[in-house]
Amino acid sequence: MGFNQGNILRNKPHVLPGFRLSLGFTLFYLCLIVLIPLSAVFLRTTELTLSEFWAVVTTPRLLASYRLTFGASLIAALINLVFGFLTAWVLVRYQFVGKKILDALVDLPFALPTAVAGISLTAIYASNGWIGQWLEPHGIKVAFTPLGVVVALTFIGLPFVVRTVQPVLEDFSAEAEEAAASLGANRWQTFYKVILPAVWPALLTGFSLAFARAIGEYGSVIFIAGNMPMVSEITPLMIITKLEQYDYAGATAIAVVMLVISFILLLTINLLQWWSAHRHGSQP
Amino acid sequence: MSISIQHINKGFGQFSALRDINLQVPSGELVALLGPSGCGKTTLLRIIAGLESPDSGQVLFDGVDTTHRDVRERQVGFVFQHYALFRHMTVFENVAFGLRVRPKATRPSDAEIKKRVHELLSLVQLDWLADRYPPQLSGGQRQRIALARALAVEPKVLLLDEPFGALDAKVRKDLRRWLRRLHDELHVTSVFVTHDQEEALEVADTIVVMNHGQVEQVGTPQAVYDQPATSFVYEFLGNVNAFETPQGKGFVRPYEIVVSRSPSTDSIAGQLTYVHSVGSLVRLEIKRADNAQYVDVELGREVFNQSQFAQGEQVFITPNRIRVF
Repeated sequence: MGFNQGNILRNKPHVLPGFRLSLGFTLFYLCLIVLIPLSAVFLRTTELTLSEFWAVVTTPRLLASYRLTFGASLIAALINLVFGFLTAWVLVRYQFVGKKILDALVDLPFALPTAVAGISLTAIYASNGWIGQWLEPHGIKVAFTPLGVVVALTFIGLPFVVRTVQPVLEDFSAEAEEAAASLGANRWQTFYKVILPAVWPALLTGFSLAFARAIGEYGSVIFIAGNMPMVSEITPLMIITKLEQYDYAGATAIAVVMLVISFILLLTINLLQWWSAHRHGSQP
Repeated sequence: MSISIQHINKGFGQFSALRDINLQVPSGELVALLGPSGCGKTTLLRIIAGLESPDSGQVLFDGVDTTHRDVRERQVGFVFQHYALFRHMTVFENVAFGLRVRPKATRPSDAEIKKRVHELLSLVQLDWLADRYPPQLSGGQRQRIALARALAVEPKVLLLDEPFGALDAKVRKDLRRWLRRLHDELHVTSVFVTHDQEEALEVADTIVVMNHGQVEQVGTPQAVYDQPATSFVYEFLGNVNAFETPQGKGFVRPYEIVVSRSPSTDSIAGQLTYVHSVGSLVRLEIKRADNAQYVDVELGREVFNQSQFAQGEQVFITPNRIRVF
């Protein structure tokens, strides 16, 4: 594809006018909102020498927090991938009483202040809470453990997968399923050979959104995590801790690490999506 | 394989889509289900396929009751109106799908699948598109790939839902002829649904004319056109003019009317309001003097050239064949 500047800026008539203006504005806007604050983070970090930087970001306590943040986010996003897909499927394919209410419930984690979510989850999963009291006798502790972190991150990430997959499923014609059946495919074959590839790009988008959201999540997690060093401290909490000690350079150093890792992960997912879209010929 | 449909009823809520349908499709025939939209023809096709189940009645394949057999086991090839190709698979994989999903015991080897798919793609004359994806194909190409995919499972019955409905006029005509030739080659019992009478008359061995969930007439194209059983069939199969006769409402085809400048015993006076003379036929629109209704007349170009009627002229029309039902 001939994707160069000349091609994009010159002599291509568009239905709507103002392409250059809107492109310019978009770039300016992205700089203002995203790029400038992020580069400030990097600039602040340069106050440290390279060895100082390395020492700050590789303390055992911090390494444990990376593991928890990225590990729990990954697990939560995977859980959301499966159950979000299931929820979207039910909402699209079946008619039942209260469907509208269920549909509205999905968005609740978006609207709820994260602290409220954290406090209520903690109350429910604490050893004397509604659910916690039944789990405790089986030796399952949720509140104040890494498991609690996963629960909180799953809660806040749910809408992403549901809302990205839902419209794609609605567009997906029942005819393709019927075609598969008439060709002799059983239900499982129809699912993984016909339906799954069609919704795969949307699932991946939902997954990456839920994952990204989970990595940056703070409010709902700190209540349920218990914040024990080396066990249930998340990286955003470590940044806050540094800030509270007026160690701005240290805080931004950790932020830089998170940024870089997140960026690499999201870029990988985007590449994966681009690749699957191309492989499936949906792009001209 | 022959298909026998016995006393099929199907309703959707309050709406009764099919009422006591009885139909025999002999083995190897190409049958058209013809009717206006909402007449139940697609529902009947889907019931034959097993994609829909009837409220009552039976579907027999070669005399064996298959009413409650799943679509997976019926061995029917179904071609959907909008093709329903798997857009994330190449053309090759689309056609191979039916072979790849077979249970291990009956699944052909990869080499056999490859051979079979290329045979089918040659049959539909699209072998060169094997590596493309459906969104990159034209409508006519998609339709032929959908057909190749349906044929891959060696169906006993081929069912096509409005196979040419979404194509432009030129491609429609080509594909129609092509389907006819393909059927003559394969001799698989085929049923297709259409609302286009021209299509049905040109392609099918037998036409089933349907209206309001019931069969109006079954017969060869010639029979249904020349000896329509009901006024609906007559009206649906071509343009008609209605005339009041002493026996009731009568119908006359536009080419069954004689136009002249002088009156005769049964003639009706009128004014020639419009002359459309493109092609082999000249179409005249005549406004009757007595009741101001418009009558369509078709004349051969020769006949028209002899008399040279002009727009606005006073003429006399005589229907030479009136059908009363």
